[in-house]
Amino acid sequence: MESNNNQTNGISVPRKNWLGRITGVFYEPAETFRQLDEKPDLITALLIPLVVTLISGSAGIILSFRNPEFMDKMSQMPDKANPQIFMWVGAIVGIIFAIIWCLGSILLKSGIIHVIAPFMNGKGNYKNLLTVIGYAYVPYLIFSLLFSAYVLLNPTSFTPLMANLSILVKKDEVSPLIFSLLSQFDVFAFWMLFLCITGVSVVYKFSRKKAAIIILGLWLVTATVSVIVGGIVGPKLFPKAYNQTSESVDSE
Amino acid sequence: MKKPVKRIIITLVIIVICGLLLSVNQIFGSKRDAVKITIGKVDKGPVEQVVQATGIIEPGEKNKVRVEVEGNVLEKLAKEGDVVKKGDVLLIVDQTKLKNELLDAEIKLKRLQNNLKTLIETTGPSEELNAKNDLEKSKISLDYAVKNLETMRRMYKEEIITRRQLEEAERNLDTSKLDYQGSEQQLKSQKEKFAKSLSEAKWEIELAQADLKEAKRKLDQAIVRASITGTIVEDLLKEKRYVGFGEEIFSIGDVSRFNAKVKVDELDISKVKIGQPALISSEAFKDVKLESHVTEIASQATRETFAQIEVTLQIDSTHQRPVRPNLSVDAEIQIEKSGNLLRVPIEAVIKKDGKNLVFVINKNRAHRREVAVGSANQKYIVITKGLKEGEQVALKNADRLKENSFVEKEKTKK
Repeated sequence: MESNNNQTNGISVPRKNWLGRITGVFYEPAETFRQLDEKPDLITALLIPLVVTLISGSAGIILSFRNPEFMDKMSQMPDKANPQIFMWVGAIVGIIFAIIWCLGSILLKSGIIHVIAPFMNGKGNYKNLLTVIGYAYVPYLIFSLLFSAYVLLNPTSFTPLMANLSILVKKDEVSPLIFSLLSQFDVFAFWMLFLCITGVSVVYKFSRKKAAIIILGLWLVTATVSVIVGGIVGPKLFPKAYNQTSESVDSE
Repeated sequence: MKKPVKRIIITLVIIVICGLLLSVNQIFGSKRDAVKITIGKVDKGPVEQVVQATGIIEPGEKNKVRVEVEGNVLEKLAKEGDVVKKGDVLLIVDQTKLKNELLDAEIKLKRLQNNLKTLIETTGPSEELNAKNDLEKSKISLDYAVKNLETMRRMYKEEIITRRQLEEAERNLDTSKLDYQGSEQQLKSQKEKFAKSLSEAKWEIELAQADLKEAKRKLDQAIVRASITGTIVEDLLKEKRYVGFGEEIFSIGDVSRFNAKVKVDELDISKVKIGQPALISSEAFKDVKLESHVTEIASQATRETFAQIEVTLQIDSTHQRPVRPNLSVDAEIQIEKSGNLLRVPIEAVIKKDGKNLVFVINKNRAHRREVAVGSANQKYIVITKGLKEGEQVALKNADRLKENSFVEKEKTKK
């Protein structure tokens, strides 16, 4: 019979249900990940990024439909193409791709960590790692809810909620490289990194320092690739999308 | 730290972070959401009804210079852009052949004049004299035959001669009568022949004189002169070394005044009338519009992709701008004038659900307003209700705006 209690340093801690584990990620991340390491909950772990993608994706679609430039392009489509169908099919396909991308990146990220960890004397289970990485997406649940609230509260807005430093600059006033670099400094990304470090150290039973080297190293690589793609390759491939100039009406 | 306190602190931190995020996005996000627009002002002014047309500048008077002789070009004395006076030599065609033609004509005339003189002085009178002599001889023969017959009749009565001899004398008289009549006829036809020959000779002389005159004219026209005072606007001869009869070699334009030949759409032509004022603009003189008026409306349309009617606008003043023949121009023919009306640029008004809407810009925010509109032209529309003079309205991208949209003025690229 499965025990509902967990022994931590000789103290008996009650086992959390899925909701308790989600809130536990906020209040007691180390303890929650320990429980997950003992009894992994892969389904909830994969559902969390799935729900995050669905909510954020839906909010994103609403914003796209509000974007005048996007709607202009849609209205310029030939009558035969039926813009309405095209938009909705595009939206659904977009969300499906986002889900595949999100789950794929979790699997890949976990795989890389699982390969590197043994070199740092870590011993752990891939399934457990997947569970903690999935649970590390919990802060993004808050973000997706905030994003939805922001979209609903600002009916004229057509740009997404931003939790990174690029909010402080205007995209068309700084170079794409700077903008892309600032985008990497994201509150929720850092929060997730912190959770990943905690989770990985629990799963592989090594210090947080070692976990931080792996997680931050991985983040550094992905951030660098993102900056290069968004700041250098993107503007060269799609110069029109990056070539906009404007000034405030007040500056008249 | 006790668990509940820790939880409260963490919850508060999360709430603060979320609150901060929303606030920061609210502040900066609105600028990111800004719709880039251009701004126009509500002002008072005329909203003239105009017909727009495009065309080219032409000299006030244009004359094509043609050559009336054919031949090799001996010398070309003018080129495109030269200012010429009426009568100035523009081109000299080789005259050798023409001079020969003139000489031939002179010789021919001389020869014909000599022939006439010979006919009058020698041939005519001598032939007439011969005919008269023949007539005289016939008369003498006839008189003799008459007298001889009288003698023979008397002698026959006296039975000196036989009947046969009398009859022979009668036959002689008949023959003499016929000879006399033949001579008379000969003289008459001789006179007629002379008169005819004289007439023909005179006619040939007249023809020869005309040929001579033509040869002289051709020789004169081998030197081609300017037909009017003006500027050579077109050199049609270019590098050619031979000209044909009737070939156009230069186009001279009177550039002291200009016309604009513009093409008006068939749908608008009924509104265009002689004397209507028009404004002409060109890329060559962007700073000013030239005043002009309609002087001519073509009686038939030209058809390219659709029917257009050529309208001539006489330019009243060039304002010392570099007006040149063949410059492309845009013309606005004013077909109706209006007073000082409250107006906005035409692109400010959007039609939506049967309503006329404008977006008034106030502190970088767009505010939707329904307006009542009046007449319009290609630039402005009259506002009869809903706007005040001096208010700012969105122009470009106005159709993208919503109530309270944040806006930015679009920067013009240098």
